[in-house]
Order: sequence, then structure tokens, then C-alpha cells
Amino acid sequence: MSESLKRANELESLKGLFLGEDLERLRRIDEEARNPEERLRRLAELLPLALKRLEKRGELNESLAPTVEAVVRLLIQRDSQRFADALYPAIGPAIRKSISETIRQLLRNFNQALEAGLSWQGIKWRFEAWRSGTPYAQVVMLHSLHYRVEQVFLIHRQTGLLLAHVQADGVRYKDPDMVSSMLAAIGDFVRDSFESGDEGQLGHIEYGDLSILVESGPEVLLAVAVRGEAPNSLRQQMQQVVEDIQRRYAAVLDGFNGDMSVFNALEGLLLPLLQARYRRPRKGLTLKTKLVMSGLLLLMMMWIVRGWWWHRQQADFLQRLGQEPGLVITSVTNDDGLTIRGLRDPLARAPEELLAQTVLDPEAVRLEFSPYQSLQREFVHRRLMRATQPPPGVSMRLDGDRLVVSGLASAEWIRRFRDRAALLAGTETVDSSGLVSDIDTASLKAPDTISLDFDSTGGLLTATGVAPESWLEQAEVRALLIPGVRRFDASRVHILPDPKVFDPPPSVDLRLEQGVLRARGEAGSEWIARLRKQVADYPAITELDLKQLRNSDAQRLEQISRSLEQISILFDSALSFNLADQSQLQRAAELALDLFATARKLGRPVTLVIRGHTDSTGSFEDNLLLSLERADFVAQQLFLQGVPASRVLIRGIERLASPEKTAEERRHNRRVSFEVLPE
Amino acid sequence: MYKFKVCMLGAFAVGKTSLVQRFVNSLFDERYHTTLGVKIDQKRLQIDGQDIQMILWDLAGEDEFMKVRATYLRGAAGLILVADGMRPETLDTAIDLLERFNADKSLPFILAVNKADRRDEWQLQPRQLQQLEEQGWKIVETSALSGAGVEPVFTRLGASMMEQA
Repeated sequence: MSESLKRANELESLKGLFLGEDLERLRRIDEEARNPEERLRRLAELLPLALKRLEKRGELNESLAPTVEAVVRLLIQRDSQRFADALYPAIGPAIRKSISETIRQLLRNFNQALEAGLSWQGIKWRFEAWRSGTPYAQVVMLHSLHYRVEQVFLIHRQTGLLLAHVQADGVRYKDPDMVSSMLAAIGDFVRDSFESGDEGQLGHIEYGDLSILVESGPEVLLAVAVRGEAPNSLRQQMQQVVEDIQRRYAAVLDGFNGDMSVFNALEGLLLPLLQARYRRPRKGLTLKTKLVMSGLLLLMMMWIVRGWWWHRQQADFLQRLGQEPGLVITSVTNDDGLTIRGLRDPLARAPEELLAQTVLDPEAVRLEFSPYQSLQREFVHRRLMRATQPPPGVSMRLDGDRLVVSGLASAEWIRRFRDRAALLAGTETVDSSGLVSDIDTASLKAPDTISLDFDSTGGLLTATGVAPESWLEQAEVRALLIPGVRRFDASRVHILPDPKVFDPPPSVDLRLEQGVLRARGEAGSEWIARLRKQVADYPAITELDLKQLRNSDAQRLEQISRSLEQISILFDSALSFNLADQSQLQRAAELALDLFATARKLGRPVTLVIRGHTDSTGSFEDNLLLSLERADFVAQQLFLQGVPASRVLIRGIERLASPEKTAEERRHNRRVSFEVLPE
Repeated sequence: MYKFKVCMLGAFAVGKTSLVQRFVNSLFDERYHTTLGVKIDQKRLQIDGQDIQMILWDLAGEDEFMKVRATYLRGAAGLILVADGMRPETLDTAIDLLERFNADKSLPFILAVNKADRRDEWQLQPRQLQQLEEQGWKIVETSALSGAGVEPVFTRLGASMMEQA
């Protein structure tokens, strides 16, 4: 025992010689290593520093991710409610934010859809959607994009193999492995074809609105497919991602052997590149949106106005029904369409008829009216009229509850009326004292030439025919005294005049017999003309008979004509114009004046021919000239007396006179004669 | 999962595209051959429970007028060489391509001798293939018409690539 102790001491001495001051430090380290509490204290000091360092290198998340994921899964499995409670304060605002963002997006899409849907562009987009089989909303979205990163490829530069691939939601894509290899092949093709050298790299491909941006690192290519116009910042982000991947996976990429399991976490690094930016919606509402909104507002206002108008129409109809005699409204419901219930007198207007006069839809209004008898005066009267059917000459009126009936009717009708009238609703007493069964026209003392017609409807007695004026003067008074007659019409009675009114001259016998006025005797033209004119004023005189009336002026005209034609104005010698008897010329002038005056009265124009004559001595030409001079001489004398020249013809001889036997005969041939010619 | 770039090489009209057409997922059409000189296809398979995705770079066939672009082979994890059994010169082309792009045979590769359905008409001598096998070549006789041998081309190459991964 002492030996072993001795050796131990010797060993300690040797340690002291070799280690010196370090021995004590080693002992302290050993004690700390053996003490769990001390180890925990040191670990607690170092752990935050270690975590910070890992975080700086970007490896903390990757290192902790599997553990945290496993812990979260375990917690959820054990007590999901507790986990939900713990997350609630964070999830609530997140959900609200998500919902508000979704609504904002919806509004923006709605605005864009409206804008697109109402334009030629919208139609084109619809056609594009139909042609490509793409939903319309997606086409609108694509066209509304400012840019969107649709796919991200991480490609192994050396092999062209796809290391990781992410794509945006809803993007249709083809096999990314083959696409990435083809991208690498295209890069190789370009490099090979244009001898661009190994340091070159395909950087950008454009096709329509699609761009493929390629960013390369020593080991990887990062290709993003962008729809629209990518911002410059995207390039910078791509560079950062490439640098990050190169740094983190440097060892793996350097010795890449096809094993893809080491790149499982790469997608997380690519996801931030899936960005999108839409065209900023215009501030406020677009014109089209405003128009649509205005249209909707207008439609809403029209709907409100229509509702108000419809309600007003219903109210008006109800008011009209309420005011209509014989209709009583008992209830109105508007639950399932408008229903109106009430009472209706059979004699009142049908409610349906009133409804048809409105703009209301007859199908939308139900009318349920039960029959009843109205005691309104109008309906009592109409019921009386319908029940008794009075003849036209009878009038009825209600005086309170008393029915007053008057007029002309048959005895049978009057009897039936008196039996029934008191039984009709609405009448307490009936006064039928004014009813008469017929009228007696004897008191009118109408002549046989008058016919009487009685219209019992209006109590009108009409007289037709001819009658003396003396009868007519008293007829109206007599007629209106006849019971049942309220008016007397004598406008069709023609008055028979007394012949004396025509003031016939004593030589005329004037009589009126059976409407024919006959004149006998003799009268002048003036009186006859006046008679014709006066007779026209009397329709009762149907004919004027003047066959036995002689016109005294016509007789006188013939008499004057004969007297004038008997006159011969003789000349003393063959050549002189000395008149043998001056008195004959004077008489001829007087007769000529009388002739034209009488003819004018008769209205029968006449022409006076003054013809000159000569004896047989001399030639015919000389004698013709002489005869004309003699006739002209006499005519001038007559004109001086006032005989109208326009009615006078001057004529000479037409042939030489026969040789005279005696001087007296020769003297007689030297004359001027007269002839009256009617026109 | 493993992802590999695999290039298909061969002379003009040896049937590269026809060979794999029924076995791969295609996105691009044949016009890419005449424009870019390459067409990308994809083949998924499972080897020993491990998912493998091959991105096939179907390079336009080489002839006297058109050469394979070397840049397209950059980063490839494996090669599929295709020759036509009826045209011995296409094997020469395959050998030439391998020497140009994989002289040290550091990349796994496999030779698909196509048109196995018309083997009786082959001009290619079996001894030629045997010699290549002796040099370490993996060779599979394939038929684009019947599909025979096509899947093994992918599985054998895939296994080789997995060994190197």
C-alpha cells in the first residue's frame, strides 16, 4: 500500500516537473468536465454565440428545420387544440389580411374584367381563350400582368441536368427536366455555332411576351421564364440566389454524381423568385366602370320609382273603387298580390271594368265582390226603371223616400206600376197622381188640314199641315192646357193666307182652294209679278193658277202695235221730204214711245222697223236710196221724241213698186210705214 | 434518385431515334435534329431499388457532312453507341466516335447493334463484335422493329453509371 502511494506521489512529482503551471489548469478543466452543472453553464454561454454564427452563415434554418418540423408535428398530434390556441393570435390577423387582400384582388379583377369585357380587346381576349382552351380569367390575368415569373429552373451547368424547379400557381408547363436540358443544349449550340468561347453563357431568350433570363454561376445555371417585362431587380435577385446556392452547395456541386437527394431543400431558395406584378389599376373607377355603375344605379332607381309608381297606381285604383257608386270595399290585402274584397250592387260598374282602365296587370289583382242592393238614390232609381220599364212618356223622380211619377202611359202599365212600385227597395211612398193614360186634343180644335203627333217621351205635341193664322195664334195656348203635353211644336204648320193680302185689282177674282190660288179676270204685269213673288212666301199655297187671268199690258202691246202698223206717213212729192200730214208723225212717235214702255213692263222686248217707200218712177237704185232717206228722216224725228234708237231698224224698198194707175196711187206709194217685230 | 445525362451517338440513319422512340418520354420532335443537332428525351428506370432518370441527348447522326458537336457531350454520364448490323461502316463510325469522345473509356458506354430482326442480312461480322467485347465493350443486339434488346441497353448502362456514381 505504501509502495503504491509512493509511486503515486512520484508520478505527481513527475507531472509537476513536466506540466508545471498547466497541471493546475488541466485539473480545473477535468473538474469542470466531470461537473454537469458546470458543463451546462458553459454550454448556455456558448449556444447563443453558436446559433448567431450559424444564422450568419445561413445554415441555422436548414439545420433546425427537420427538428422544428418534427416537434411541430408531434405537438399537433398530441394536442391540436392547444396548438391552435397558441397560433390563434397570429392566425387571426393573417386570415383577415389574406381575406382583405383577396377581396382587393377580386375588386381589381372585377374592374379589369369590366374594362376588358366591354371593349374590343375583351372580345379578342375571349377569342384567344376560346382558341387556346385557356380560361378567360387567366387570359385576362396574363394580359393584365406587368410581369410574372412563371417557372424557375436550377440547372447543373456541366450536365444540363435539372437540379430544382418551381412554378407559379396555375402555370401550365412541360417536363422541366427535358426543358432544362434543351436550354443547356441551346446554350451549347450557340456557343458552338458562334465560337463564343467557354466563358460565354446564354443570358436571355425572348419569344413574344415570354422571356427566359439565364444567370450562371460556376456550377449552376439559373433560368427563369418571365411573362411580361421583367424588372432589372429580378436579375440582381437571380444573381444573389445563384451566389447563395454556389456557396451553400459548393462541395456537392463540385463532385456532382447524379444524386439528387442532396438538393431537396433547393426549392425553398427558388420560391422567392416566383414574383408577379400587375399593372397598377387606374386611380379611382374607370369610365367604363363608372358607366356600368351608373347603369346599375339607374336600374336601381328605375326599380324604386317603378315600385313607388306601382304602389301609387294601386292606391289610385282603390280610391276609384271606393268612389264608384254601388261598390263597397271591405278589405284589401297585399300579401300574395293585391286582393280586394267587397260588395257590389248588380247595377254598379264591374270592378274588372275599372281595373281594365288602369295600367295594373289584371293577372296581379284579385277582385272578390259579393252582391248587395245599394240604397243610394241613383241605384234605387235605376232599379225602379229596370223593374217597371216605364214607357217614354213617363218620368220618375225620388223626393226623399217618396217616388213621384208623372207622364203619359197606357192604363195597363199604370196599373202594373201601382202594384209593384211600393214593393221596391228604397221607396216608402209612391205619388203617381201625375200619370195619365192618354191626351185629349179635342180642345185644340185643329182644322182637318192639321195632323197632330204626340211624343210621350218628352210630352211633345207636334202639329203638321196648313191652317189659318187665326187658329195658329191660339193653338199653342190650347195645347199646353192638355194634360200630358209639356211642349207644342207648330213649326211645321203652314199658314193659309187670306187672298186679300195679295191686294188684287177690282178686275181680278182671287180665290184659295185646296192650297191652289186661282186668279180670274184681267191684271197688269206689275201686279201679276208681285203676286208670283208673294205666293212664294206661303208654303201652304201649293200652286198658283193664272190660266184664267189675262194680262192687260199684253193686249195693249198688240193694240199699240196694230195702231202703229196702220199709220202711213205720206210725202208731197217724189223728191221732197214735205210731209202731207204732220199729225201722223206725231201720233207715230207717241205710239212708239207707248209701245216700248208697254213691252218693257211685259218683259217682252220688241223691235220697231221703219220702212221707206217710193213711187214707181225712177230707177230701183235711186228709189232705194230715196226710200232709205225717207225712213231715216222719220226715224230721226222719232228719236227726237225719245224713241230708243237701239230698238229701231231702218229699211228701204226691196223692189220697184208696180206702176201706178192714178196720181192718188202714186202719192200713196210715197210714204213711210211701221212694223213691230217681237224678239 | 439519380439523374444522368446520357448521349446517344452513331452514324447517320442507324436507327437511334427509332430504337428508343417507344421506350422514352419525348417532348420535342424530330425537327430539333436538323436545327440544333440534338433532341432531348427522358427515360426513367429502377436499378436495385434505386430510381434513375436518364436525360437522353439524342445527337444527330454523324456522316461526311455533319459532325457531332463535342459540346453536347460535355457532362455526359454515359454513352449509347448505335450501329447498323447491315452497314459495317456504321460500326467504324461508332468506334471512331468513342475514340474521339471517350478515348480513355472513363465514361460508361454500351453499343447497340440495331436491326437484329434482320440478322440474316447483316454484313457485320460476329468476330468484329467479339473483338470489341474482348476490349471491354458492352454490346447488345437490338431491334427497333420488335423492341428486343432496347430495355437492356438502358438497364446495363444505368447499372454501369450507378457503379461510378
